[in-house]
Amino acid sequence: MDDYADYLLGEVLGEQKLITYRGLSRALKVHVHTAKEMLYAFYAAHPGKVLATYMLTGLRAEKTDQASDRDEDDDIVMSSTSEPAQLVKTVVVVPEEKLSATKATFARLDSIAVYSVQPAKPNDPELLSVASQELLSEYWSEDPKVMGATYGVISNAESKKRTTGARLVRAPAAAPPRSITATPAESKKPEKKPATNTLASAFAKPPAKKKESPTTASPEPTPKSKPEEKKKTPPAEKAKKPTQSSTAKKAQKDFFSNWSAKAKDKKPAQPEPEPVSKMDTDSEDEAPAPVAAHISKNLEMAEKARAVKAAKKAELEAMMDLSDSEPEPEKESTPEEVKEESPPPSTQPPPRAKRRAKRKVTKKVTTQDEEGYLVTKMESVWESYSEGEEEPPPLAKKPTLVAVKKEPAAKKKGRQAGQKGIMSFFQKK
Amino acid sequence: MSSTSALEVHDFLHEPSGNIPRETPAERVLTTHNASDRFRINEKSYQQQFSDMYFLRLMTLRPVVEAIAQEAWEDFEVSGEKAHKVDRALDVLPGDLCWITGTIYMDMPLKPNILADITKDQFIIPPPPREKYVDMGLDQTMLEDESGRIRLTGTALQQHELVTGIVVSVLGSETRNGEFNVVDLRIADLPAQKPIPKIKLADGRKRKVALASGLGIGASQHEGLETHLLAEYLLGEAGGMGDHEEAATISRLVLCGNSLAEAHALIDDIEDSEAQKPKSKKYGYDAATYDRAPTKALDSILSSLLPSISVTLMPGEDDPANVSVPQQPLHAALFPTAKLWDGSTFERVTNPWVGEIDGVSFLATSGQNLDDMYKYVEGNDRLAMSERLLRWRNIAPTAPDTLWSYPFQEGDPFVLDEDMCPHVFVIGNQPKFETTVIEGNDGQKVRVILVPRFDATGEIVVLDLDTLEPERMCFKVEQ
Repeated sequence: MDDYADYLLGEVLGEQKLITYRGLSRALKVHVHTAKEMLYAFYAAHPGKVLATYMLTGLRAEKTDQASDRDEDDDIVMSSTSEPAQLVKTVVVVPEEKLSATKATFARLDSIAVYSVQPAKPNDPELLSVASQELLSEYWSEDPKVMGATYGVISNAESKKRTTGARLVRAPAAAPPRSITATPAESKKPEKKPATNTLASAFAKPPAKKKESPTTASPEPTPKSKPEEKKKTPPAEKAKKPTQSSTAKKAQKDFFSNWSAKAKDKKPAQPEPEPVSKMDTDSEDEAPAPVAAHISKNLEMAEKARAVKAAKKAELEAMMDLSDSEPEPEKESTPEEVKEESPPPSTQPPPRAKRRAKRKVTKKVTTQDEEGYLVTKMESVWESYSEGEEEPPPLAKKPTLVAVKKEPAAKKKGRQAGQKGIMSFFQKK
Repeated sequence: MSSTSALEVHDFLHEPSGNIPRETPAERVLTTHNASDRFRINEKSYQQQFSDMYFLRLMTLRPVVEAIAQEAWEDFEVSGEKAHKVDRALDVLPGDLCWITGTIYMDMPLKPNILADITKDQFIIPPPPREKYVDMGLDQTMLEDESGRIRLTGTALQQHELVTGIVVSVLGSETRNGEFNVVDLRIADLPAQKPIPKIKLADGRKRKVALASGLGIGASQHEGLETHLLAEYLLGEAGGMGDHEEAATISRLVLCGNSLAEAHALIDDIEDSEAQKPKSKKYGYDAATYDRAPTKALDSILSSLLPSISVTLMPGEDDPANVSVPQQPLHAALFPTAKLWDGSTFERVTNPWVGEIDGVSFLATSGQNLDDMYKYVEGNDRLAMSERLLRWRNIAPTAPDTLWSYPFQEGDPFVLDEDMCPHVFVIGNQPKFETTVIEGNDGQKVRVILVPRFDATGEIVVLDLDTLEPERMCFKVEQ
């Protein structure tokens, strides 16, 4: 209990922060009422060094100088005559220098408490609301039901937070959820594919994949940190994974079946504004890029993802040096990863080269004739193209697969994974 | 107001004693709740004409008004001539004492006029929108039915401050100028009201509902502390034990529109690195002009409230919903966190909203209907205007004339059907708190509450569900 003094000393006088009673109660996990008392005790112990604001509640006579009344002259007369001193329940926050003046305006005082303490320096009115705002963003992830009792928040038996499926995970931030919704689909495909798809089987290492896929499901609660830890310690990881896989995979399968059913419903019509699926098409222009490049990009991203703040920049950089960054990532990657990814670059180029062909395309040609008019004609033109452009699905799927293996929860990867999902949609046709 | 008067001042100005009463936190009082989907528009089509709304309105209200007129004027006689009913406005004979029923149309030169707008010079700065359309002397009152229009005159009109779109019966006779000289006028008056079920909580606790409007959460942070205080109070953290107990009796917070401040172009944050990304514009969405901060702030405040208190969220004029009434619920995508309580404590509803809380029926609007009607009539008595809305049985008479509205085809939802008389009529975003009880001929009692804008006044209204007594609460930060 007594360490509150040390905490406040460090925060207020050390870090020069403003601490509200709510902030203190959350930080020390104590009841708000206790926190109010702690603030006062701290304030009393350091006279002159800290400033306090007070919160008063009670009944107070309504002031007549309200701005809203002023512009409606006839109403002032009415309200002042019909209901003279009307008492209004009021919650008010005042700085300490105005405390006694404000206190005097109350007809009945219900409670008085220190609202916040801050180091003695010029008062900034914004500080209070900034602190309140920060409080909300910092502690939103706590379970309100459990913590509410500690803090003294009125409990509500009816309130139920929805926790079903991917929707919950999507909520906290935009990026991680995307990777999660996409990865189950992707990671399941390899389990089916090996028999039918030669490319995939060439590239699929069933044991490795099985090991990896559960990890995609497991990191749901802490998508960012877990996979990274695992990656850093590959030997320990091997020991861990099998134990996880059996249960986690089941859960994942269920999860996926729900998801796929939903996805099927949605695909034909795209009825509801589903931001995720739309966002995934964002980077469509990158789709035909060679697999190797994707891998390199993914790897590079994996590296960058560790510095979360730099993530956005990293994507741009990655896009920019797509072409020349290929060798780099292989140096960076762990041996295990190199093995997995080496097949694709070797198997890839040949099929692509074979598929060069020509096709007939109808084009609009606009010319100017002798009289100066613009004439638009439809002309058939033979155009050479590579089939790789039209049929990326087999190629495209692999990169995501790799992506899943490498770093299931890396933010940027999620986006790409989703993108490949779109490409596979074309393949079915 | 009286419940805590016996309590001492709960002051926290001492060393931590550690004797927090074990009954905290209190259990929140729960109430049952039904929402009506009356104002939901499932399929929007703008192929149809707006005139149908007037027709539908007339069809619904004509029998009601005619019955009332019949009863009132059956025996009306002037110099031996008995009044009689004429079905069509065009069939009125000059000098004939009769009564007709139709829809009022106010011809006001100051009203916005789409044709005038188009023909006007495009290169001058348009004048600001008018506060009032009223211009005595120029305004003309017309009565319209399926057959045609007839101009109304007479002193009887003055006391009835009419607006476009209401259905009335008028008694009088046609003058030589072809005008109808009105002697008396009848309106539909309150529809029937369902009784309020008697509910008494076992432990004798009160049941309350908090009404707030115009939180006006904007990008600037320092305006928001009152909102935080409101949240702290509702959660039971602010104040002492008395406040905690009182807050626990508030089962639901109804936000009557304008929870977000008016949207404004984002200039300051352009240098934000994200906004400068070349690919920021996709699908017509320009990241540079969109400020996420207000919705984010609203979302986090809502999600801090929702574990503890139910919230009904209505859209308002400034909110990112459709502009025309009825405004459809704010989209869930605006509330990435708060939407997780969808279906339990979080409820996004239409504006206007009809719902029942523990059997007490609420009819609430975010204020556009009253604000628009305010322009038609002289004076500032908003309470009297809202009373008239109910007595006309039309809560948005000026739609679709000057209040933008969806062109309804099946029926006009703004017309109160028989049995639809609310117990509580709430109008949000008003300049100040006002309340009254209006009574109907059949014992109906409607509590009318004008809820002030929170960002201007720091006030909310707490309504006791047992007594239907509203109480004002004020949240202030004094610097």
